[in-house]
Amino acid sequence: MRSLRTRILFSASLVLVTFLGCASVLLDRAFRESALNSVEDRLRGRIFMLIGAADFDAPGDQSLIDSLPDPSLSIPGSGNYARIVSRNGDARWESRSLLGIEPDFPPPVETGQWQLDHIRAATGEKLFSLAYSIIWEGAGVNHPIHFVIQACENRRFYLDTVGRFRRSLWLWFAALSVTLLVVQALNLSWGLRPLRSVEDEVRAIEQGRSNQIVGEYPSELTSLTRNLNTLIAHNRENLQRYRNALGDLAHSIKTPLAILRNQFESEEKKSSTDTMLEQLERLDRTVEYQLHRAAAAGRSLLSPPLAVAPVVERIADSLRKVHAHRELEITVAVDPGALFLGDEGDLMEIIGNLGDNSCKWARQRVEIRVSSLPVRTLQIDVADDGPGIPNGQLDVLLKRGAKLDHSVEGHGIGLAIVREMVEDVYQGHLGFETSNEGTVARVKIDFA
Amino acid sequence: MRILIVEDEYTLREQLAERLRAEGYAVDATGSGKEGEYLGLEYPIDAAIVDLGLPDQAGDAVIETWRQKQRDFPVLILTARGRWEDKVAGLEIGADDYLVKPFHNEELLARLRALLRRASGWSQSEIRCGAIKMELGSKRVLVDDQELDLTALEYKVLEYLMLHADDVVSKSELTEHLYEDDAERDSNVLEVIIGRLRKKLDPDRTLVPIETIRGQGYRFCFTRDSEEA
Repeated sequence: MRSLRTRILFSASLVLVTFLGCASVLLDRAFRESALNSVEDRLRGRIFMLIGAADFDAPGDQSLIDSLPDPSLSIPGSGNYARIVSRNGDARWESRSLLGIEPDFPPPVETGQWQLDHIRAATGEKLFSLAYSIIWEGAGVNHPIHFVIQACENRRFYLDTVGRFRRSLWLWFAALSVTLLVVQALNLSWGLRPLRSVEDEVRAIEQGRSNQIVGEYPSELTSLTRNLNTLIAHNRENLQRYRNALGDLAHSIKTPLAILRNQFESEEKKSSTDTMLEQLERLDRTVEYQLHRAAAAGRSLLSPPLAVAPVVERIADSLRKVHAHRELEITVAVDPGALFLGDEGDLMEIIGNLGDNSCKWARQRVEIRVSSLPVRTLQIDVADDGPGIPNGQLDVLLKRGAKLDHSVEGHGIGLAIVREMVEDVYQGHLGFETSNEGTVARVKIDFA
Repeated sequence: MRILIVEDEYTLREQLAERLRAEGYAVDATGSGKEGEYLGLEYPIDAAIVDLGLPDQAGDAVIETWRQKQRDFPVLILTARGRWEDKVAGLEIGADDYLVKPFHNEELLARLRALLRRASGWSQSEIRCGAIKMELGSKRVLVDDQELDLTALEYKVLEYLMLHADDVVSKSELTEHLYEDDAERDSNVLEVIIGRLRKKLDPDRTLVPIETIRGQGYRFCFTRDSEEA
């Protein structure tokens, strides 16, 4: 029941089945009543026919009816029976079809009354029986004579009719139900199609294939999609604003730091100035490190996918410029389809710091390689042909703000920033392979 | 060498200017982006140090204007923003190097020297013309591996001439790049300095490193040696 579609389909089917079930029960009952009425009507018609055909003036030993208009009364066991009895129960006439049936006739009724009964014959047949009694004042008779006319019909006729009706009723209702359910399902999928395409678009954004919802949607959804787009844009703006604020903060803290450092450096060497310089250095590294940490955007479900190649090219150009005096050969090899599902600034921070570090140590060559591994893993290798990292120094190198060699310019927190970014923000892995032939820094980030 | 500093923080600007003057550079300093832009366009600047966070006009816009108007002196960006995103953006608009505040003065000077050298086509910190070798970092000049004793002004003149070796450098160009104010300019002083340099570099008059081109200026006439590794 987690899916809207299942819910609607379920409830609609429930309503449909209940409705069709009730309707069929009511129809069935109405039909049975009308079938029973028609049985009564038929029997009544037969009684009138018998009254019309009978010669009630005939003497007691003669048959009341000579010729029958209805042949079924003449065929034994046909299911249609009739008889005429006198008030005291003597049969004055019996239809030939009654031969051997011997129904259990109900007692005579009051004059002018119609009475319908369910009776049973000796043969086991179930019958409907209608009785009517009349008073005959014949021409040659001086006192009126009571007659009771009884007509019977096998219940089978009635049951057959009802059965036929039921079979056709259920067949049609079943066909109707199936048709309605199919129509309902089609209806739903048409009605919910906008929802499904919103779902697809949101998934595309999550997977980084898109960066906003672009489709046209029905009025009920437009406010939702508009708000979602606003949220995405807002998210991005917020990050930018936040970074600008951090930049301003950095500016306002670091300019005084720069002044203090210049002041102390220009003063005569005393142990107190050394201490202060040391503390300034610490302050600076802490501020730098924390500002970098704070500015890391991280992996956002809403961040657009980023082609890695152009970013690497830009970084390489910058490195070539900054390290121009070293005359290094900086080469780039990036899988054309490599995508980074995160923030551009973060990627630049990772590649820039690793590249910068390699450039400081390299003798002649630095290579930046980026490859997409299966199941959405991005591997970034930054290789140099420098002297390698001495044993045991790797840990120091990666520690916060540690600086391996003070003679190499820079703040020395670059690698610590990269490690923080890769391992804590992107849950990736940063490793080094080092020998005296050179060092390869390897970053692996899994975006699956 | 004439350096332009565009930095809005007064104290830092003064510290930098003082330090650069002490290193023998002529310095123009301003706290305004607009003024900095004007100075860069109109003055014979050899290199500029620009803070990105200026109050009236952003530093990157200043650099962009310079580059659009073909002012290609090297530019060193000075900023508090240490993210690579900012560095790359700064370098892409035309800056040549980037220094994050706070910085070591020595590092700033080293980078500045490297930029000036590169701008004149030298890529090593030692430049060599024939028997004459100049070490830019330590400001030493050696002739046949013998160190010369030069005054600051003599060194400045020789440095400019050697960095522009084989080019004709006019007297006014030399003074513009060596002095901050017109008041200090006196071509006689320059002639005296050139004369002294000639004596110190070439006591036996065998090398004749500095030529006088009549009516035009001076030329350091040793072709650049292929640089040593």
